[in-house]
Amino acid sequence: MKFLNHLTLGQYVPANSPVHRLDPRCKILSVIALLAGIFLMEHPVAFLAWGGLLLLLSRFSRISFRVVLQGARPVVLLLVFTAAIHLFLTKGTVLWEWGILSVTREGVTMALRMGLRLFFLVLFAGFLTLTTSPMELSDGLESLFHPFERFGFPAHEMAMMMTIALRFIPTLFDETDRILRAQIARGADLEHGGLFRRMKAFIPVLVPLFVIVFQRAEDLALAMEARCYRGGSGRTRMNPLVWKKADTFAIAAVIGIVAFFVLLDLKG
Amino acid sequence: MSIKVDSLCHVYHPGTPLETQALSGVDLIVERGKWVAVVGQTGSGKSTLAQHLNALLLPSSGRVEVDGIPTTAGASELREIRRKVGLVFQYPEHQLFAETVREEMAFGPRNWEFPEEEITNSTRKVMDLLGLPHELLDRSPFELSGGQKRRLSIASVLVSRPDYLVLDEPTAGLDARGRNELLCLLKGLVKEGLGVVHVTHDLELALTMADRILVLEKGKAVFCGTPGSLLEELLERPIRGLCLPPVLELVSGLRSYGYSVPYTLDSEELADCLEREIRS
Repeated sequence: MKFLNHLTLGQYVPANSPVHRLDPRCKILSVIALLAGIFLMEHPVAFLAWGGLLLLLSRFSRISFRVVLQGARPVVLLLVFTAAIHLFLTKGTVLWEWGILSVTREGVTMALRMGLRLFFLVLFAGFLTLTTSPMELSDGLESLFHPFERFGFPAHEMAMMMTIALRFIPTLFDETDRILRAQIARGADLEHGGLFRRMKAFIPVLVPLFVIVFQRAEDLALAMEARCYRGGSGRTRMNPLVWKKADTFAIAAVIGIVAFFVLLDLKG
Repeated sequence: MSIKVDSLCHVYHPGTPLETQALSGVDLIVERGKWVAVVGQTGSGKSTLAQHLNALLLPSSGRVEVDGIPTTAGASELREIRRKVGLVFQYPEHQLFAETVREEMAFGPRNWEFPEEEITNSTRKVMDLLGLPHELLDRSPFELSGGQKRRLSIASVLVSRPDYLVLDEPTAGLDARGRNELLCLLKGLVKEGLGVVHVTHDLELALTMADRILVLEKGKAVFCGTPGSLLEELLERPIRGLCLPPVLELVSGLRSYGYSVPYTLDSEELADCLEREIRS
């Protein structure tokens, strides 16, 4: 009997591809450029070009296209909903009518455009988490936000919080699983009864979990202090981020492609 | 009346890359009034076996029966099995949650719909048994000392009157005194007819306390029998994953130098014998 399935958070797929090896900062900036480009797309046909780019990226990063497409699964509902709203609520030349529902020519293009835009947004953004480990990602973000520290933005603290949170998610899953088992062994019934009863049945799981979390937080704080952790200033890294030629090339290529697509799109 | 484990196999995450065979073909019988120790290294499948005894895990193949009822039976039988076989996890104080000790104790029996009056009586009895003073009843379980928390969490299982008690490393993290008290107490319960399954990696503890010992190695039972026969076996040939307790190492060393000292775990007895040997 399994009570909690192990969720993999973030969806990092380790591989040794040119995309995986890129500097995380390069990947974050590239994704921002790509997303901006997608927002500027107007022509439904132009999306074919974006689709081609997606295929190319999946080849380069050695991640199967199926895995890439799976990234859109959580937003399918949102996609359908957005497309439907645009389909039925855009005014223009009427193509088809049934009661108060009417579909217009403009509605069809709008629905396609918005739907595809969202779809591609999610897929391209997904590449970042597919090819960058959570650790690299938080290092990259810290380094990118570093210039804002002079305005009081706690870049290092944010990155450290992200790292710690990611690190503890699997541990918390294990703890929850253990407490669940212990309470079930004491006769707790978590599967029957109405919503209220079931929520009440979870108190014996949540209270010990909170106790453990606070204890762990305190232990961790103590361990960090014992090793003289004093925040980010003057801290060196074990694996410093290195911006290589390949990174410059990659980001130049991405910006070039995006600019090319946008120009093409504007001309029609 | 016993727990019967019959060629039990358990596979974790079947059909995935994480597939692991945790138990393969384990047999075991636990009778009431007997102390059975399950010994093995980390990852030998001890804890998996423990969870099978109370139907938290179900066999991939093979059978587990509690007083004749298989753990694969329906939901109502399952509840009865879970009451009959109390399971105390490692570090059981992590399961404490209630506002008062009284509520903590009542959690199990209320789940099994014991009448309130019986819960009160049974709570007092079990607390006496485990040496927890009645003044604690209205205190928060989180205010208790480490040893008291451990005893409270065991008490909260015993209060549902199980016929068998499965304990996973019950002495881990206790000091010497707390450990001895707990073991004495369990011995007393066994005399009164409770069946105890004691999961541990401490061979010496198993040899001194248990009536029968099951040794697990990578999910396979490599030995099952009385402590005496395990000792003989161990001296004949080493069993993988088990090393002799220091006292026995000493005994076999002395014997190889020609001293005729008995195989004993009692260091006092050994000292006496050795003294006599040297004098004569």
